[in-house]
Amino acid sequence: MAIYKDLVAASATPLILSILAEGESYGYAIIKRVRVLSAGQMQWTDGMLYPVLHRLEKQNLIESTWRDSDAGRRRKYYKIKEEGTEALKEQRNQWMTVYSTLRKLWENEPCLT
Amino acid sequence: MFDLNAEILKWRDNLAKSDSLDDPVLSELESHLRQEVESLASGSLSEEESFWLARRRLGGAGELAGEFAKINKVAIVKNQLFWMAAGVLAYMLAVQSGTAASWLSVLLAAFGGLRGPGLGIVHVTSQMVVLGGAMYLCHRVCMKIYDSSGFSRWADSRAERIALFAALGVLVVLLATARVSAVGLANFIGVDEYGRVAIVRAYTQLALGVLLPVVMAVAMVLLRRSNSNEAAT
Repeated sequence: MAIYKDLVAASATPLILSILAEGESYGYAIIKRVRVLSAGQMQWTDGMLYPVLHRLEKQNLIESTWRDSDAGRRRKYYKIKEEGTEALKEQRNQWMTVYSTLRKLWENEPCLT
Repeated sequence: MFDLNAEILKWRDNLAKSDSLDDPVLSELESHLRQEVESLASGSLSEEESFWLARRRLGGAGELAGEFAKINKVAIVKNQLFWMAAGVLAYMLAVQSGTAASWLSVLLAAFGGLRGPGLGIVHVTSQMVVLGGAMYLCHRVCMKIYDSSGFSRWADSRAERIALFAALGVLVVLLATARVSAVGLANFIGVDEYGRVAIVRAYTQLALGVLLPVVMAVAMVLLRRSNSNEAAT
């Protein structure tokens, strides 16, 4: 089951903010993490993550620094900011509202498949 | 033999042609690509296969550029304005080269003893030849800058700024040459004869005034068409 494209795009911001809320990370690791968490069902074109990261940085929700990894590879690390944590809270509320609304509707017919 | 670094450099150069992908973005994407290649190559794939797959997963140049363009609109408009201004400068250089060359050659022909309609012919021919040559040269220079992958950052470096001001200097020299030659010609061959050249010049300018916009419009249509062909493939 592939997730509808617009839904993947809409969930990119809360996903990235949530992953960064766990700690600093970089593009490649974020993509890997999403893939593992969704058991491969949320597929991004890898490159599409970066414009989202840059937009979030422009919106002042996250910040970045270039550093060498232990393996000596130069990487751009992203860290969530205070404003990002606030935005994530707001996003979380919105998603939970959508989720609980749908759940109430679907509880009556639990077995659609 | 597959050379990963060379292939990555080629891939990066190609992306660099886009307005919206600057150096830091490219470095970040390259870092991702390298890590993906490494991870894939540690499995059953060869380095070459890993590169093609990693590149494909990262997304095409158009796709990436389009997504980044959405967040960098201002920078892109500024870059386009820069090239518009460069285009106007190049156009002025080409036109003024033609004008300077035509007056100078008429002056030289007059020194050589030529009079009458011959002067008009010298005038038109030299203007057209030099104008065409200058436009072709501008085109070649632009293609060279475009191919050098520094397209979106041109005029950042010192040498390139010097080249830009040198172009302005050339423009001033061309303007001066045209005026000095014209005045020199009027003094040398007399006002009557000069008037005949001026009439030819008026016709030439009318022809150019009509012809050049047509050439530009055709060029614009052709450029747009080749662009959409590229996007389609």
